[in-house]
Amino acid sequence: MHFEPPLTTPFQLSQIVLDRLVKLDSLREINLSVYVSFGGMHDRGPEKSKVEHNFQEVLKCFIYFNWLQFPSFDEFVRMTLD
Amino acid sequence: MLYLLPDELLVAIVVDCDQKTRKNLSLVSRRLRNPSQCIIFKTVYIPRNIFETTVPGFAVEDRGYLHEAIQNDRLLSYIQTIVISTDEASHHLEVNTIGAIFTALHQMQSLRDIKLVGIPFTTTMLDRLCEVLSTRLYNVELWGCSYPVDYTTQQAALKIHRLRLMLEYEWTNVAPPPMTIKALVAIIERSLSSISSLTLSWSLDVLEYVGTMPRLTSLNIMSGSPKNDKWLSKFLVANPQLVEFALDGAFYETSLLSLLPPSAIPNLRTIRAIPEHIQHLLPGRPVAKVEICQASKAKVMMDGLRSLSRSAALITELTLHLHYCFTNLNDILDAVVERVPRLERIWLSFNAEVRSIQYSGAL
Repeated sequence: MHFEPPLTTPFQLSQIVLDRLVKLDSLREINLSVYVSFGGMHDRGPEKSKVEHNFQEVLKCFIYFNWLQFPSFDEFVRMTLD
Repeated sequence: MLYLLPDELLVAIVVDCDQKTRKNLSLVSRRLRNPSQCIIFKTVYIPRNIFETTVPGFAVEDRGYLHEAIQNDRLLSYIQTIVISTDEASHHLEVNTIGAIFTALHQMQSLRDIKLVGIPFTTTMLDRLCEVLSTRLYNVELWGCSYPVDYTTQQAALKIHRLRLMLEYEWTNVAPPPMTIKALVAIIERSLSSISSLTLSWSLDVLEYVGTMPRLTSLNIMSGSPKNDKWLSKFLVANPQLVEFALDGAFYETSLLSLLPPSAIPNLRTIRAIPEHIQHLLPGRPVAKVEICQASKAKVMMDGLRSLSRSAALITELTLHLHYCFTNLNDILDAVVERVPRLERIWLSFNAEVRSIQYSGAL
């Protein structure tokens, strides 16, 4: 079986969601969560790297959305992302 | 200075402390003892459950302490939530000990939430529980308990606000024993006029014996089997006042939708189900909040989304549970924009399953 890379990283995913949903004038709140499940997986080298990569992206994703929901944290989050 | 504060402020301070600090504060002086202990004992687990260690509350692990605590009226009066468990994840409690706790339920003047897991109910225990339930409104959860044969409560009416009945037969594929259903029906029948929220998991057999529940506004079916569909359909028809309906049982083929007449549940405002069920349940009903879960394929999710514009009311809140590997995310989001133009809140939950990944050098 070959690994099929996902369409996007969670970070890119959040941008896609925003680009599309911005058309909804009445939208006041977006909540996005990404669950990464590892059940039963053997931690071999390359797969483990992939898992760590996912974790980093998920973290970015949450930070990004925190920024969206709380604009006053703009500067702080930008610093974190840098 | 701290000692000059009124009790309400001391309690407000203790609420923000961690459990260890609360325990330390309770030992400082008599002045700090009561405000600390009323928070420490607000939620009590007997005994500690390894699955609930992250939940703030007091876990009674020492049996000697337990006996002492259930004789202390002051401590008992602080308890608002009690969880009594004899499941495999916790230590086994002796029947005598459980009996003593049930006897003490009367003294728990602040008690509102009762969760009982794996309790081997005796008639006496159920009598004690029903006596308490006849006094004021409680939220009750009965999970995987066993019941005496032919139990009938002596109380004319029980006061239960939210009732959750969970049986554990999903792995064994064995029907719940008749005495279980009888006991549960006995409890529901006496609380028909008070239950506003009912959650059933592998306990749908009770619906065969239950008709109209005048105060019921929320029904959550977590799991069941197709043999219950006839009774579920009849129950939904008999309860037109329902405003929330969740049908999580996505893992069995249900004939419910073909049995349910279009006129059933005419006041439905909130629904949670898989896309196939959403398509059938939503059209013509005034649904404003939708949660679509467990879509096996992107196409199925799209079909569910297309039905959203057929609600008799404007949908303002939407939750979608999506597989991370869905490649038509743009189509899904476009369908949301097109079908739910007045959306105010959206929850998007992506499940990234990496268990089956095999490395091929593509990383």
